[in-house]
Order: sequence, then structure tokens, then C-alpha cells
Amino acid sequence: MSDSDEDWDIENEEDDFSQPIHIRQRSFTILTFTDMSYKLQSLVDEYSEMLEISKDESLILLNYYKWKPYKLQEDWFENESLIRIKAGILEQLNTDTTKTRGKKLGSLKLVKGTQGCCQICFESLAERDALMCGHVFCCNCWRSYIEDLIRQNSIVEATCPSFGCMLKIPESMVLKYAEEEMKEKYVKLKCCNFITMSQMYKFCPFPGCEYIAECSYMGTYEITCNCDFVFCFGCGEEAHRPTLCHTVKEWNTKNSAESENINWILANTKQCPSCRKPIEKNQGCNHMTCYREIGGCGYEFCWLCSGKWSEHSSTTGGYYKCNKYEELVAKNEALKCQETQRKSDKTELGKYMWYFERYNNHSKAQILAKDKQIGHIEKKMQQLHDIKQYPIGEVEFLKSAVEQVIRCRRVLKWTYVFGYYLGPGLEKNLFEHLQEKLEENTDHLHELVEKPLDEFLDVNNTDKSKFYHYKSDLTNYFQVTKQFFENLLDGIENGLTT
Amino acid sequence: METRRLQKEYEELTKLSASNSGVRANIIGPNMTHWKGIINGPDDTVYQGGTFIIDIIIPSEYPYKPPKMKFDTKIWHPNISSQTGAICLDILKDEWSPALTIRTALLSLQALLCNPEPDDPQDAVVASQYKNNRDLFNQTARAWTQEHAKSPEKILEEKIKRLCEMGFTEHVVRKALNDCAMDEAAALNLILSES
Repeated sequence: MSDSDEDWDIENEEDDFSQPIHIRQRSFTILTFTDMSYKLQSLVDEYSEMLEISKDESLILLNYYKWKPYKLQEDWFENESLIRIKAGILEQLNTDTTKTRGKKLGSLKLVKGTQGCCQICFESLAERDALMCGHVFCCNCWRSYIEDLIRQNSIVEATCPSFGCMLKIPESMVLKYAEEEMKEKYVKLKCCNFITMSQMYKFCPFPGCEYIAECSYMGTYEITCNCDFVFCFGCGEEAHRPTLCHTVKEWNTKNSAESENINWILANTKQCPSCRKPIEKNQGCNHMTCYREIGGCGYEFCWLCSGKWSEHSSTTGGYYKCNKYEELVAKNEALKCQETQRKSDKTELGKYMWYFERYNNHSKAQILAKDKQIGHIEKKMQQLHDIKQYPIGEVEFLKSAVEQVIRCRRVLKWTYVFGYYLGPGLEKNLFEHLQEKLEENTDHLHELVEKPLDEFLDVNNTDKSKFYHYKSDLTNYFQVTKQFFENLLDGIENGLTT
Repeated sequence: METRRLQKEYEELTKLSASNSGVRANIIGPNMTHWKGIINGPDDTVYQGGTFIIDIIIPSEYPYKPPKMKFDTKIWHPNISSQTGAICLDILKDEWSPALTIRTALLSLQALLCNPEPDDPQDAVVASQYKNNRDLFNQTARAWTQEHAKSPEKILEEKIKRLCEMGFTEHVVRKALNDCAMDEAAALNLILSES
């Protein structure tokens, strides 16, 4: 290993889209902390045997090599003693570092009167201990030193307490002195360090989740954790197919720069297009009703374009046509004026806001569905089972449908980021078509799952045919939506026009 | 915190400062967490003849965490802030070892006065002057030493001298200063009121 060669981090691999999707789709495994402990130990054992060194030394070396064993192996056979010194398993004698240190400290010598005492507590060395460097300290001080390092989370890289000594503290020494509770913390720290350093593993980013994902692919790759959270292995963010990690990063940076303005506008300016009463969107789909019951005017409109809901029906052909920037503008005269204005402004902001609004809309719908609808539907499923004696298996479709809605909302959210960065052309047309189809079906499915199920809970009504009709309708839409969902992802990820 | 260790350190420091090396320290207050270190400017340096006071705060994790040190006395040095007295020295940060002591830390500060490290500066202005205009640096550092780093004895001597010049005897002046906690103006008032 050359001296300058300190950095052996693998360059961040670019998302390789030249390969077809089935090659990029490698499997992943969800592991527990205990699994990881075993994996760590078996690596330590393996290298201890291979390099004919103790397990203590093997662990220190692997830590020093940031758990990239191939590099360790290579360097080890090239210059073993240099690696031993660098990693801190062999004492460094009479080198440049100690010289400069000596100079800097002038005539610094240990206090004469304390020779024969422990250099930490200055008490007598009744019970003493030292690493192979021979720097002797009393056992009490070793204990305090090691436990303090564990408390400070810095035990993994810790060295002998003697000033300037670079010898690492081996695991056996830590286990010898740490009390039970500290031992546990040490094992945890060791394992965390291993997981963080090794590029094959990632903690599930969901707060409080302790599962670990193992995956050999380092780009954008979707992991579904055992806790049900779906995240990207490449960047550790929430899953963001079909958008790539670097695009997500760019988008998030842009959002944090502009979001305050946009959020304020979006959060405060939606009014009923007919009576101007302020309207808060508290359910997922785009079909808004200004409820008479709560003092509204009864007007029904589309949340996105504020147009009449009747114009969105399938009979007028404009069913849910709210996903295309240009089409929306062409369709609606008022918006067209706004659009000309925006274009004449020649600012990016208009375009950005358009995409952000739709991104944000799906994001909110996703959160609402996840936070409220799932719990709500589970309650209803239980009621259907308890009151109407439907077997649980018969009502499972409700939950599956909500889960599909959440997945669709998540993907749709990211398609607007994808679309924002996609230049015009044939590819964009095809993409927008797929997006529109998915959006249309998702909205419909979302509306269906939000339908009040109370009529099916009426004890006096023994006719179950209505429920089964609803079920087949929903199941049907579920299948259709799922198909569009997969078409969209496959289409984008395999290259839209190739 | 290791009060016993600090007690021992203090005893050791007092014992050794009597003989040589030009570093000593006093404990401020009752609980050993606040010290004032005193180092003499090393001979053959621009700091020669100066007495520098170091403020020392002992953290509760001592000796596993380094003591917090800064210069009370203003000093012109690349690794010490000319404004705040903050010190840039590795052993007071990452390189601290529990086998080091207040005394060894003060000694390494003294060594830092001998060997500035302008490539790892605390005060960029001073460091660039040190590198680019050594004569001006030496001149400034000497002037600062004379101006700010007077020893307590020297300050006392000057006070006595000034008061004696007003026509009082040295005996009276010393007594008055002693009675007034070395406050020159108060001592003068005392002498005047008594005479």
C-alpha cells in the first residue's frame, strides 16, 4: 500500500440503466442485529484463520480496513509489518511521529515522584495491566478508561491510554474490564460500526426500526423492510421508483430552497371555486365536494384544476385529465391565460410549481392513506367480520386495495419528479400517457376504498349481494391499477422508447 | 471526577514549581474545577520575561477528557487567538491522553511558545505575519509580552514605585497596598486618610 493510498472507498457507482431491469433486480435480505453479530464474527474468524493472526488482531484489522476485506488481504501479503503498525496491532518504534511529538512537548517527562504509580490515578500499582506496548496502568483505571470510551461511542478505534501510543485496545481487553451492561453496549457499537462501514448493509431508516437490509446492488434499489417501510438501498431515503437517487437528491435540495414559498401558497390558497369558502383536503382523491351540511354550496370540483367535477366524468371524455401540463392549459381558458402569463414571465418557477403541486398532492394523499385509511379499513374489516360474519379472508381485499393505493401514490409522487427533469419528446409523451393511466385508476381506486362501508354493516339487511358487487368492482379495479402500476415502472425502467 | 488525582497533581505541581521549569498553578474556588496556570515565557524567545496566565477548567470526565485551557494574558502567537486567548493544540483536543496532566499540558504550552506551528493556526492574521514578515512578528510579539505579560511581582513593584514617587515611604506604601488587596487607588486613599 502506498502512503497516499489512504482512501479505498469505492467510487459511488452511477445508476446503471444500460443494463436491463431483470439484471439490476437483485434480491435483498432483511436481517436482525443478532444475524449481523454472527456475520461479523464469522468474518473475524475467517480472516483470523486466513492471515494466521489472533481474533483480536483480525477484528482490529477489519475495522481499520472499514470492513473491505479484499483490500486488507491484498495489502497484508504485500507488507505485513507496515499494516500491523498502521492498523495499531504492532507498536510503532522510533518513528517520525514520535520525534515531532517529543519536540513539541519540549523536555516533557513524566512526573518523577510518580514513577511506580499508575499514570492515570497516581495511586500505587497494586493490580496492574498493560497491552503489549508495556504501558502499565492500574486495573481500576483500565476499567474507567474503557467504560468511558464505550460511553463516548469511541471504543472501536481506541488506543492505549499512554500519550502518543497508537496501539489499539483489543476486544479481549474490553471484555475483560467492561461490566455486563457496558459489554452489551460495546457489542452493539462494534456491530453498528460494521454495518455502517460495510457497503453491503443498511439500517432500515424508519425511526425505531432495528432491521438491517443486505443487498449487493448499490444504486437505486427498493427494499421492503420487515417493518413494512419501503426504502431505497442506494440513498437510504423513502423508496422513489421510478426516479433515480441523484434526481431525488436534486429535487429535495430544490424543494428545501423553494418549499417555504410554495408550501405557503399551496397550504393557504385553495378555495371552493364556486363559493370561495376555504377548503381543506382531508381525504385522498381529487373529487372535492363543498358539503352543504357544513355550510358549503354543494359544488363538486377537481382538487387539482378546480374545474367542475362533471367535466371530469368519462362521458365528457375528460376523465381525470389532470396530469398533463399542456393539455390542462389547452382545456381550460382561465388556466390558459395564467399559463401565458407564466410563460411570459419566463421563470422556471411556474413549471416547478406545477410539478411540485402534483408531487405534493400525491404525497399528502399517500400520507393520509397510510396514517388514516389503513387503520380505518382494518376497523371496518373487523366490523364486517363481527357484525355480518364475513370471514376475514373475504374482506382482506379492502386492505390490499388501500396498500396498493399507497404504493401508487408513492410512485405517482415520484413520477412528477421524473417528469420535471424529463425533456420533451416522444419519451415524455409515452411517459405522460402511462402516468395518466395510472393516475386515473389510482384516483378511482382511492375513491372506492374511501367509500363509507356502513350500508354493508346494517344488521337488518341480510342481502349480501351489494357487498359482493362492491367487492368484485374493487377487486377488478385493484387488478387493473396494479397492471398499470407495473406497466409504468417497467416502461420507465426498461427505457420508454427502446 | 478524580478529586484525589487532582489533589495529587496540585501537590506535585507545587513541589516541582519551587525548583524549576517555570510552570505553576493555583486552584480558584473550593471544588478544584477551576485553576489558573502560570507559565514563564521561555528564554531566547520573543516571550522571554513574560508571565502568562492560563485559565483552566477541569471537565467532570477528567482525566478521560482534556482540561479546557485558554490564555487570560493577551499574547501574539500563531496558535493562540489574539482576541480570545483560545489555544490550538492537539493534546488539548483529540490527542489528549489520561496519562497527561495539567502540568504536562502547561509544559506543552510552554513548548508551543518555543515552536509555533503556523501551518495549523488559531489566529490567521498572526500566522501569516509569522510566515511572511518575521521581523514585524517578533517586534509585535515582544511588545505584547512587555505590555500584557508582566509578572505580578513586577506589577507590584511598579505600583510601589509610583506611590513612593509621591513622597511616601516604601514601608507605608507596602502596608497600604497589602491592606487594599493591591489596589493602587484604594491604597493611595488609605495613605492620605491616615496621614
